[in-house]
Amino acid sequence: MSATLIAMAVMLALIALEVPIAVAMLVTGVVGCLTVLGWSPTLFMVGETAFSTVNNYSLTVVPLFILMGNLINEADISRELYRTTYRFVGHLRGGLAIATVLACAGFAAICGSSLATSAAMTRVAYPEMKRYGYSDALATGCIASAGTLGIMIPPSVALMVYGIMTQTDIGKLFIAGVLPGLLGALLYVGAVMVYTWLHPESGPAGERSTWTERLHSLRGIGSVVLLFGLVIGGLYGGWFTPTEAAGIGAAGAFAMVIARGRLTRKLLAQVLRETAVTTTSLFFILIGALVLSKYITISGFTPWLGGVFQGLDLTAMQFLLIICAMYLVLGCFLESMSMLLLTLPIVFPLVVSYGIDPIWFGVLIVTLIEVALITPPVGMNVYMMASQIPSVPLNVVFRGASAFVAADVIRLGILLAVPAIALWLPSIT
Amino acid sequence: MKLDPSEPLPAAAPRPALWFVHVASWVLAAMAAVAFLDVVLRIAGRPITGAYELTALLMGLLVYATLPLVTAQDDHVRAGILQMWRSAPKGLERALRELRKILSCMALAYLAWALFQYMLRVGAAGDRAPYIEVPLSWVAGFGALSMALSAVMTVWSKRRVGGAA
Repeated sequence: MSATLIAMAVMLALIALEVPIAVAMLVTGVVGCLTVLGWSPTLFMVGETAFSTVNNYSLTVVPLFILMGNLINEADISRELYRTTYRFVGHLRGGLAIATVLACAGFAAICGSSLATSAAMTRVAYPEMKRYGYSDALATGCIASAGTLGIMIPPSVALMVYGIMTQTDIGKLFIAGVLPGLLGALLYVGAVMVYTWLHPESGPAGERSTWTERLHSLRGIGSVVLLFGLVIGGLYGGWFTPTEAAGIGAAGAFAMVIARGRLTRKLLAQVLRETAVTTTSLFFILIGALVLSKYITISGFTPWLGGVFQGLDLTAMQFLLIICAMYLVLGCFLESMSMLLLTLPIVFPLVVSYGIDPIWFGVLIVTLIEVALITPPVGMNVYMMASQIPSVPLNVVFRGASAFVAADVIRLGILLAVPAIALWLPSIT
Repeated sequence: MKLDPSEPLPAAAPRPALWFVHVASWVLAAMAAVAFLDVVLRIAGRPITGAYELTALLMGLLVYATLPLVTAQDDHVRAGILQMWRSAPKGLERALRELRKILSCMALAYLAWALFQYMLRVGAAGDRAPYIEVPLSWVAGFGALSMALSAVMTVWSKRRVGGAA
């Protein structure tokens, strides 16, 4: 077992040296398999993995949902969502930030990426909040944090990847993410209210809209509701496979881009290329993770680790708390998707051995990833904000996001205490 | 503008990688179209035969065709822990960059070799996609070619830096 532990240490060292994560996992997995299996079986196993991973129908859901998200991002839906939510809550103290949270939740319902959700909302919400004199900390922290709802509310790239890695039903995972996502949005609204109660000057109220204006604004989000209903309803109702739902979603998003007169050859080429690059980066890591996973399996590392945990005589909840703490720490250093792919081959068999529901664990782990996206020093959403608004220092964004991290920790506690929040909807399908 | 030879050149990608990604864009569009049309035609009672296989094989082509560009542009995901190597001495920073390139090149070359062997194996067995009857060795062969090209891309980046200096 010491050889496997050394291999893991070397892999972590390579990751710390900023070797691409896929390469670090591949090198570790291949060298490990070579020592256990020998040359020919390893060569065959790696070739087979590199082929079957990218030629697998159940994984085709990934590029299609990414394409849908990228198209939605270009359709300028975020502006209409924001306008609608602003009409309803803009007059409250911190109302524009609350409107941002709600618009992010709406955008997340048709886009599976946190970064895309934050990026889309930054363009729309930040100038408005600045116009009303909102503090930079609240404005940027709110957008960066609410953007993380993108990976909980379905469709979700993170839940897809989790489902693929653990062979858990993606449709059920998506449905399981709905209530925790809405809970997250509610807690973020609470965080804004507490923040502006403590610092009233940071989020003054906007203008109150009439009910006519409010009802009129709802027309703008009809297409969003329709697309979400079609994609998630079709998946939930068993009409489509996840890939078909993604295909329908991509076609719907494409139609939205056309309907808004935004389609150009350049834009289409750019969206297709961005989608291809994102997909490929993800699949390269996936190949590395699967090769590493095979090494971990054949080396007997998982049963050994399971034995170590059994020796500690932990309950399932104590085990989960340790895992949550581990992910909170790892999230400070690792990019979220890499963290998922790197750790699942080791952690998931232990989760199963403790009899923990894989769907519940999937929701928990995505909540932890959401925290990772806004905690220093590697909070990707915060870096994205900083790149879009260079005038706001990074530490200001992190400071603003801290209130929302607290909300996330509360949500994590609630999800740990009440698994039914994640498991009720999948149980009635 | 004076170029620092220790810094890699930004963005510009070599032509072969751009040709490949151009193909990948069309493949992705085709994939989305197949997934969508299959549902629509199924409702009309005429589903596309082998749509699932076709979608899966198209994704294979998509990933393989895009990998050279991802490598050439150094778009692979890294941890970026504390960004601590940004402030390292120049010599150490350069040594680390070479280490990353060598490891990436070796990993990609090994994948190319493994896929090439896999191509020979499925080719000899005559394996084809059951419905659309595309020989799987073609896809594996394309994968091997693209992995090999990606391995070259890691070296290409190094040569371009040297050339600029």
